[in-house]
Order: sequence, then C-alpha cells, then structure tokens
Amino acid sequence: MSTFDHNATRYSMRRFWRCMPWLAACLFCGLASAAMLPLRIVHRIVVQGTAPVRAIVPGPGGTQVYVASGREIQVYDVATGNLAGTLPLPAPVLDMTADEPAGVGYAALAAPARLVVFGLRPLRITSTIRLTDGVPSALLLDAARHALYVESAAGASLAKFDTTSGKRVAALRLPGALRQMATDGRGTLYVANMSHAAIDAVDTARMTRTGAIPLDGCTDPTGLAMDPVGRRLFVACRDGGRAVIDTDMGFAFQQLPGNVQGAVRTVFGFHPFGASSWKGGAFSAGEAPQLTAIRMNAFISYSAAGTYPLDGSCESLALDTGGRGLWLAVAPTSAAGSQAGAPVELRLLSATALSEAAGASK
Amino acid sequence: MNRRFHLPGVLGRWLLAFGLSLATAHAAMLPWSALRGKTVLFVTGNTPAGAPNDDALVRQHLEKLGFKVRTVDESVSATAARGISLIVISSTANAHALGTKFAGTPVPLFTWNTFDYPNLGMTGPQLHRDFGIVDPTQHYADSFSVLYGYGANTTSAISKAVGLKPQLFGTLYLEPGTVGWAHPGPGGTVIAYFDGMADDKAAVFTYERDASLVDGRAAPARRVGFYLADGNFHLLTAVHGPAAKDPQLHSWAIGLKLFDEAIRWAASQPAPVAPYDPAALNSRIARAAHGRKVLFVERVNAGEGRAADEHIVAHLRSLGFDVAIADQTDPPTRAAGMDLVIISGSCSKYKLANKYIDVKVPLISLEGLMSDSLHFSGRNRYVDYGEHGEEKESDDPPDNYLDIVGAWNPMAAGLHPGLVKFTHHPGILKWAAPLPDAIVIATLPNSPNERAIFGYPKDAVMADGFIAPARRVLLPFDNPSFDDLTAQGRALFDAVVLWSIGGDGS
Repeated sequence: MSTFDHNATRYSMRRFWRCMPWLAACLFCGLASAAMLPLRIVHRIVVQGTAPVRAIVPGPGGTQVYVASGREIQVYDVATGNLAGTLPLPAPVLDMTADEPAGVGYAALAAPARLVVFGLRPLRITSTIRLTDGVPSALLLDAARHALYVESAAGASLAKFDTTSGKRVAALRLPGALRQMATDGRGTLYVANMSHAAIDAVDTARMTRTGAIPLDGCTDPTGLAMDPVGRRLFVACRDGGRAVIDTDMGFAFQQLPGNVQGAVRTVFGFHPFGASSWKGGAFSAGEAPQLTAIRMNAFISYSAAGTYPLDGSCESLALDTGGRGLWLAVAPTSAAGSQAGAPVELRLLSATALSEAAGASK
Repeated sequence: MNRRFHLPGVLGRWLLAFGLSLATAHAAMLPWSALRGKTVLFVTGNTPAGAPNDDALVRQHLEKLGFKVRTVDESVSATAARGISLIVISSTANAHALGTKFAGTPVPLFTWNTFDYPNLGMTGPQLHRDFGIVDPTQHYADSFSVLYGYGANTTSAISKAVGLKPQLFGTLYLEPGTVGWAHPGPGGTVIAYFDGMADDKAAVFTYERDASLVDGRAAPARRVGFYLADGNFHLLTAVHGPAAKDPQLHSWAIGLKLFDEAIRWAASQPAPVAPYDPAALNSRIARAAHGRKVLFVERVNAGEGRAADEHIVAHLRSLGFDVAIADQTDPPTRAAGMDLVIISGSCSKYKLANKYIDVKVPLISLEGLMSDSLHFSGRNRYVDYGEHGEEKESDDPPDNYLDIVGAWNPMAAGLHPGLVKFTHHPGILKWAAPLPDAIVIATLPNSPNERAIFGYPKDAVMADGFIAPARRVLLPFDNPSFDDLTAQGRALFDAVVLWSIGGDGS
C-alpha cells in the first residue's frame, strides 16, 4: 500500500500541482513508482550570494544554522531566516564541520589548500593550518578522539590532525576516486571509493588501509554515513543502488533498489524527526532533484522508505541532532535547466505522517 | 603366447595403477582456472511479483567465477544438459515440473531445490522426515537456529578447501532464514549440519559419482545439495575489510565460500575407479606391501578364530608384508615402528582395553564391538554399534551380504553399487554408526544406518571429538569369517588394507 492511501493523501494532492514540473520529470525517468516521503518544509532560508553551499552545520538548540558558501561562513537565525553573522575566509571553502559543544568549527579551503579553525561563538578565525596533502575535498571530525580527517580526492590522500594541538599527526595515500567519509568512533574510518566499487577501511590509530568492503549491485559509491550504535554503514551509489553494511563483518547484507541516480551525500540519525518518528533513517541527496531515504526498522531490518522530489540539486544536507529535521541546501533548477546565479535555498524538512507512511513501506 | 600377452597385461595394470594414483591425488578439485569458460545450465523458475528471488545474483556470481551460464526454466528438456559441465538448479524452479528429468543425467548437479532432492534420489520421498524447509513464517524459532551450521565433515575435498572445522559457523547473515535441509542416504557425505535442530539435519551434502543414492541407483555424476532458498543467496556469509583479518570471523563467515567450493567440487572430475579385478588389486597391494610392517593383534592361541587368524597372517605375508603378532595383553608399544595395526576379531574387547586407540599409524579393526572404545562410533551398544546374527546379542538374523554404497572409493575394490556376497555362508556381521567424517563403503542389507565397512581419513573427527591420528577402518568380520570370504569379500579385505596404508595413492 503506498503512502497515497493514508493520511498523507490530502497533503500529497495539495503538493501535486505545485510539484508538477519535477513530478513530470520523475515520471519521465520512471521513478514515480517509488513511495513519496511525507515530508514538509518547516523553514526556508535564502542563502546570501550565489556560490554553492558546501556544508551545513545545525547550531545548538536549533536556533541557528551555519552555512559554508563561497568565501565565507554564514550564520542564519532559523526562526526569521535572517543572516545573523558572517566569517570571511581567505579562499573558497570546500567543506566545513564543527564540534558544537566545544564551540569550534573547521573549514577546508582551496588555493592555497589550508584548514581554518574558527570559533562558533563569537564567529572568528583562531588559526590557519597549511595543508600539504593536496586540495581538500572533505572533512570528518571525530570529536571524542580529538581527530580531524582531511580527505583530498585530488591528492589521493587522507590526513589526520590532532584537534588539540592542530598538528598533522599522520597521513595515508589512498588511491582512487575518494568521496564521502564516515567513522565508527572506534578506530576505523570508512571512505567511499568510486574507483573500485568498494568502501575502503582505514585504521585511524596507525593510519593504514586495512581492507575494503566490496559492494555487489551498487556501483560508484559516493554517499556514506555511519550508525555507530548498530555499526551499520549506509552506502549510496551513483547508479542509484543503496546498501547497508554490517561493519563488524564487512558484509553488505542489504541491497535496496536505487531510485535516484547521480552523486550524493548521505547522513544518518536516530529519530531524525523526533522521538515518535522512525527509529533511524539514512538520507541521501545530490545531483538529481530527489531526496531518498532508508528507514531503520530494527538493527537487522532496513527498507527503502521512498523519495521526496526537489526542485533542484541538493548541494549539502545535514541532520539536526535534536530531531528537528533534515537540512537541505537546494539549488533550484528550472525545467529548462540550471538557473545560473539563482540563490540557493536552505530548507528544514520535517515529517508529516512519517510513522504511518513508514509502516506502509515496510 | 602367454608370455607375449602377459607383458602388456602387467604393463597395462601398472599404467592403470599409476594413472589411478595420479588421479586420486589430483582429481578431487580442479583449480578455478581449469573451470573458466565451462558452461553451467542454470535451471530457474518464476516467483510471485515482489517475492525474494536471487537467481540473477547467482547467475552473476557464477559468471564471476568464470562459468558461462545458460539460464533455462523448469520446462527444459534433459537433453539440454548435453555438453554442459554443471547443472545448477534453483529452488525457484518447480520441482514437480522438473520431476526426474535430470535424475539419470551423467552431468554434475548442484541444487538448492529441496523438493527436487527426492526426484534426484538424493533423499527419501517424505517431506518433514527425509527433507524439509524451515522458514520464518512457519518455524520462527528454527529460522534462527538455521543461521548456525556445524562442520560435520572436515576431511572431504570441499571441507579442506573451505577449512571447515568441527565447530559452529554462520550459514546466512543474521536475519531469520529460509533454508532447506535433508537426510541423505549412507552413500552421501554430510558436509555440514544445521546446529541446534533435532536429527542432525544436513545443510550441505554430496554424493560422489557412483555413490549409492537413496533410491538405490548410483549417482551418475557428482551431486550437491545446498541449504539456500529463493532469495537469500546474497545473505550467504562472507567477511571483508578489517574483519577479514580476524581468524575467528574468517572461519565463521564461510557460507559463500562453502557455496563456491561445493560448486568447484561438483564441476571437477572425480578420480577414476579401478574396476573390480582381484588380480590387479593383488598386484597393487603386493607392490605397496613391500617393506611394510604390520602388527597383527590377536588372542594368541585363541580357540574360535585361531585358524582364521593364522590364515589372515599368512595372507598378509603372502602379499609381502612383514607381519608381527602381538597378543591382546601385550603393551601397545608393540606398535612402534609398524606401518599398520590390525586388531583381530579374536581379541576380547574387555582385555584389549583402550590399547592402540591413539596409535599414530593406520589401524583396521576386525571387531565391530570395539567401535566405541576405538572412537569409531558412539557408546550406546546396539544403537551406535552392534551385530547381526549373534544368537544372544542380536534380534537380526545372520547374513552374508553387504550393500555397497561407496563404490566410488578404492576401499570398495571396484565392486558395483548394491548387494555383494561377502561370505559364502550367513553368519555374524558387525556394524557401527560412524560420524560424517567417515567414508562409508558398505552397509548391512536393508539397514542403511548400520555401516559395515567404513574408513576415517587421517585427521577426521571421530566419536567423542577424537581426531584420527591416522586412517581407521572397520571391517565387519566375526572371528572365523576370513576363511569364508568370497572372492569379492577377499577383494574388499585387500582393498581396505591397501587404502589403510595409502597404497592406492590416496
């Protein structure tokens, strides 16, 4: 039974005409058969400038949101959508992450490659570190271990920084087409590697590659997110395939149908839309105008929960750790193609009748 | 004239023996490279829309292994197997539609179509007794039990390739599973059981070519039964990444490896079996006997059986063995420097005590009632071992026939599957129920669970967890039976001796 048969019907019909252009596109692509995620936009914020949004970091208590875009970090007030502050950067930002409780943020910059450490409150640069392993492509923070990992897809490398000292403590050459990273918080870092359709595993203590987890039926992995409790890796591939990996065994035990193709990023969270919503969910979005989700029914049971149409590509996404929803940075696209110079919109998505809908897609 | 034909005859026999030795040593499993490009006939069927079906994944996997795969449905004609290297039958094919069409096909066959097992003679016909399915809907608790397998056989080619140990392993990934199980006949080899289920339900089992099937026919080619269901091939356990470096996990997650190696075994050519030819067998054993020492343990100056003991020793000496005689009361140190120990049926089990159990050379027991002390079987007398024809110890009448079920093995002396006259006159015949690591050659007639001739390879898991220090064999003699052996019975004796000392090249 699809979600249209339940309480979401009225909502879905109301959205139908508004979503007509991209629904038509979905039908054209043969994607309309996928269940639609019953989400609603609870906040919209127009991002200042025209540069792509490289990262989103929800602020504490859900009142603010940090955005890495162009040559600055922007802070928005969620309730009003107003720009609450900016931090100019010396070069275009490529990724950002933050240790919210510690009030410290990290931004990876290109040309020249460097890492900027900044305070969240007040918003100011505290130090700059030169990166010697190539232009950075992604950051991953393991705050509990005081480690920051800097990936360079161009340099085929992975560097580890001690966040206490700011020193680069080790680096690893990791050939391939590196994409998103995830860590289990127990000493292993995973990297989606498109070049050999596998997830590379790295021992973070020794910074050595300890093997790869192959993916059958999921080609070109780009999105990667970790459930550190269930020790599951959620993989999203460019061909649309999705996989769930048991990292204890390095075994992809669930393959889920791919509805959305193209490179994506993936996030995972428990109770993503509050305590009464799903037990957990992994969300992926990227090049295609679609958001997809894997619902965690139990630690051994996951299902493809459906898709949610977007009116453009998703440049970045992040889950609010307080269960307030999913942040997306959407670059609107017209039916004729990309609107050059159109502002990117931040959207906070929350559930409408997610628990009922999820039951239907189980 | 005789001389002119004698030389080629001897040469031919020598060449045959040499060929057999090579074949036995090398033919168990072909390397993967040798299987590349071989054609698999993959027999599948339809499943309802939305129902699990991993046939496409299986096909993809077989192709990854190097096979060319031709997928057909259950309506395929048996003639489609011509020129095929391996038939693989999925559980998605309708077993009733398949019927017996591949039962007599001399092409190796690998199947997880549980309901097709009886059609192929791999099990008896009765559901729930001879074979069955466990699924989470009907058998929720058992659907977790079947996630755990137990390495029943550690010495078969498949077991060795997998590194199977007598311990638990993960069959499928940690979700309530759907599997098929079986109770194969005595000619089959159980590779793995499902743990935690009654009656030792086999998860993986094989029949070598010429092994007796449950329906009495001989397997026309290798047969493998595997525990999969329609949609869980992707859940066959495997381990990758950092976890692969953990030896415990590596030996736990072997489901896919078991599948692969069973496929490889099935697609490999079995060793040729030397035809029944007592003279040729005599030549082979004579060659192997040269310079070998045998300790014959008997009750010296026994009453019953004394003549037979003397004749056994004389026979062994005539073959060229250097035979020493030990009394049952002698210390087992008498076995030092020997190549083979034979325990006569004239020995008293009580007096022999636990001697020679752990002797590190091959051992043949001519007394089935010692099966418990020698770890051949369990310890429950008349249940785990016993005898037919002993007036005060058996309800079963005397017999003089054996049912050959392991014709594929050199111990069967090239005899055809089925009944063979073992002694001229009905008498006492011993039996035991060995563990799955034993190679079963013969059972008592109409008693498939009472195995009369079997051998444990070196390192096999025997009863009580005992690991065979060297080969161990049971021959079902009663004390005086040697003198009453038929020609076939004598050939079985010689073939067992030859196998025990490894003289057949195995």
